[in-house]
Amino acid sequence: MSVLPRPRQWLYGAALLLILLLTSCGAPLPGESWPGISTDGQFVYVAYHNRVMRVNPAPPPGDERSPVRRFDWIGQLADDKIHMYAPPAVSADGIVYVGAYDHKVYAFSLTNGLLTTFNSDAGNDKVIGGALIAGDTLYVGNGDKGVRALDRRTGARRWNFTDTRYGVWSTPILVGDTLYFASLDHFIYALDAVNGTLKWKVDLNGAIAGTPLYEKGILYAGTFGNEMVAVSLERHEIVNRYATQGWVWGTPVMLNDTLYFGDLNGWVYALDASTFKLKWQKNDPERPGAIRGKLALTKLRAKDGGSDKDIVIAGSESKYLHAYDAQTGDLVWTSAISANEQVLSDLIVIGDDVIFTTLSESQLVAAFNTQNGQKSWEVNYTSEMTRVQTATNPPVTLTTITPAPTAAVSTAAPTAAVSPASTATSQQ
Amino acid sequence: MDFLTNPFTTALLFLYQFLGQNIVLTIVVFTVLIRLATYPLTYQQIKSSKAMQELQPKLKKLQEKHKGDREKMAQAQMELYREHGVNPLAGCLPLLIQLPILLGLYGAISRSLAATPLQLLDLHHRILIPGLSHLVPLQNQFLWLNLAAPDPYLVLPILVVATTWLQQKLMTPTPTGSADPKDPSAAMARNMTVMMPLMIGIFSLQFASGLSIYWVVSNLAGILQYAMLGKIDFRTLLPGRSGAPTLVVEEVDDTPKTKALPERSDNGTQQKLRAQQAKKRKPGPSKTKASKAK
Repeated sequence: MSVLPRPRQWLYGAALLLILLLTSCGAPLPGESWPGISTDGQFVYVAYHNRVMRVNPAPPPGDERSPVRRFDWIGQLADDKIHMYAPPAVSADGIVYVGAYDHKVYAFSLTNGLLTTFNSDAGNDKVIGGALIAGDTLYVGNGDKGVRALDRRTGARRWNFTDTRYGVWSTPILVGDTLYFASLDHFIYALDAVNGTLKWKVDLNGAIAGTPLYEKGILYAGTFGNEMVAVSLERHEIVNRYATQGWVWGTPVMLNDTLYFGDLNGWVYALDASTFKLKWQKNDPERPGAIRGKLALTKLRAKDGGSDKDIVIAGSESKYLHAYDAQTGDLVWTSAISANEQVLSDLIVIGDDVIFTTLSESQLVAAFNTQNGQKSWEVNYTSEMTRVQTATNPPVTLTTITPAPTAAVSTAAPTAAVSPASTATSQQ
Repeated sequence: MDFLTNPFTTALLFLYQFLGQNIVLTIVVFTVLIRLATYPLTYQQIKSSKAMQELQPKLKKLQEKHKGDREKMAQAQMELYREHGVNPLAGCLPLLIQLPILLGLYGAISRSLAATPLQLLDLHHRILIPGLSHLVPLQNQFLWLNLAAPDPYLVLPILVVATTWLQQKLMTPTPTGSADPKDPSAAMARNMTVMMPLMIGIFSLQFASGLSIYWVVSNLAGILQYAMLGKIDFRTLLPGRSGAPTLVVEEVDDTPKTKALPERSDNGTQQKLRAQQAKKRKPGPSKTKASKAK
């Protein structure tokens, strides 16, 4: 019989329990991010884990009320440990660019099914923000610091600006020949888009994770200092600030000179864009939750011969959507519970659907009707992957990339000229 | 654990602001402050451990006396504890109280080093003082380290293993009364001295570097606390030495000296005890008696 007393055994047991608890309970959060979402106006692009997928939001022919949508194109990385959550950027010639957590940017071909092996090294940390396509140049922020400009056909680095203190989680904005981007180090930067030299920068006194909105010479950016800030590009300075209840992350939207955005304390704001006077602010105390993403603006069709109404829709961590009268802030509808999961992505409107991604694979992409808040359709990622991988004739084009040294993108003739600005609305 | 993690996260941010936004210094200071705050519990634990240690020989005697009779053994054990005013659980309770505190501290450090969008979103919910929000994100670069990611050069995991072993070796007493390497309890203690640091080291390969720094500092602070109590003997680090307190062999004269046993009716007990003691004596030119070194 051991003479080791029971208390000492308990001591060792408690120590082992501590180790177990620390490594399980004390571990970082599960999951990394919500799936990135973007649109080219017709299709929806989603980046999740090692795949980027395209969804056709139109109902299948002959089944207008179908509650299910499918992927009609999937690009995937052979290594399933490499994850992508940045909103995909889609060029007019059918190349999809997505930044990954292995700090590379991957390019997938939509049109000619070619295996695209472009994967330019984009820094030392995760790529979280979306890329900006401008002509033959790709601008992408790095998770550790700065922004790089890459030749989007060869992946060659054109220039590299790393003089930021923290990473860039937003998508850069090109106005003329000046590239603007917001960094977690509290600054908005203006660079020469051709050579990457710094023109000016301004301190907003709070981390900026979202992409600013550009309208008529002003950048509007929300910060983690609980503010919405307006920066004049002409004067290179802050011209307006509004104190919010919580952190502001999502890109604001504007309609009729009114700025709409949400904060992480669950409030939706409408500000006069010129004076920054508050027009209204609303929240849902019964269903509290952060409003992380970009809001959606659309029209509510009038009934009984009245006039259509502008509404602004916000998705919440509470798993609900709320639609407010853009003019008055009156609640128009609250959705059925979205679901199983929080609504953290940006909202996209195509037709009568407001579309977003969730953290649940059974409802990776979901759409609700903008007129009444009822659920329209969803995409079940798990069953879609099973369908695609087990079908003898794969119903989708599956492009797999095995990361390789930088190689040229196919120079097959593009079907359309590339426009100077991004052709896809890239959102986080 | 939010009831601890959230205030700890807020306190960590406050310290971070106060210490010039140096995250490593913040982790070090915060860990030391928590160790100081839990010092009374640590002291209680050490005191209880020492008391238990001193009872070991008597416990062993009781086991031999009541071999096979668990009930009598249990009663005798409780009687012994009562006589000496020792609570066998007194050493465990402080540790159990410290567990949630350590978990809270661990959670605060890991959450403060938010490196992904979901982690940053989570951090927002944990900051109890809105005025601290401007500090986010925390500066997570230190020398070659990204404090939110594991150490790529394994320096910190090695330090974690080394300091955990050091603390274990210096602070965990092994059972006395037996330097016999075949003694299963001593063997278990030796195994734990090796296994625990290795296990923690393996886990630390996946920890964020900031957490490894916390672990190393916590170990060093624990050793320092133990040293300040005068309990430490660095000679135990030498090969062949067991954990504190150390066994020291003293020279005694030839005459076997035994404790004066109380006069009892002759039931053979005295003779049995003398016989046992005689068996334990080492043969040789000088007879020795093992005694504990203070």
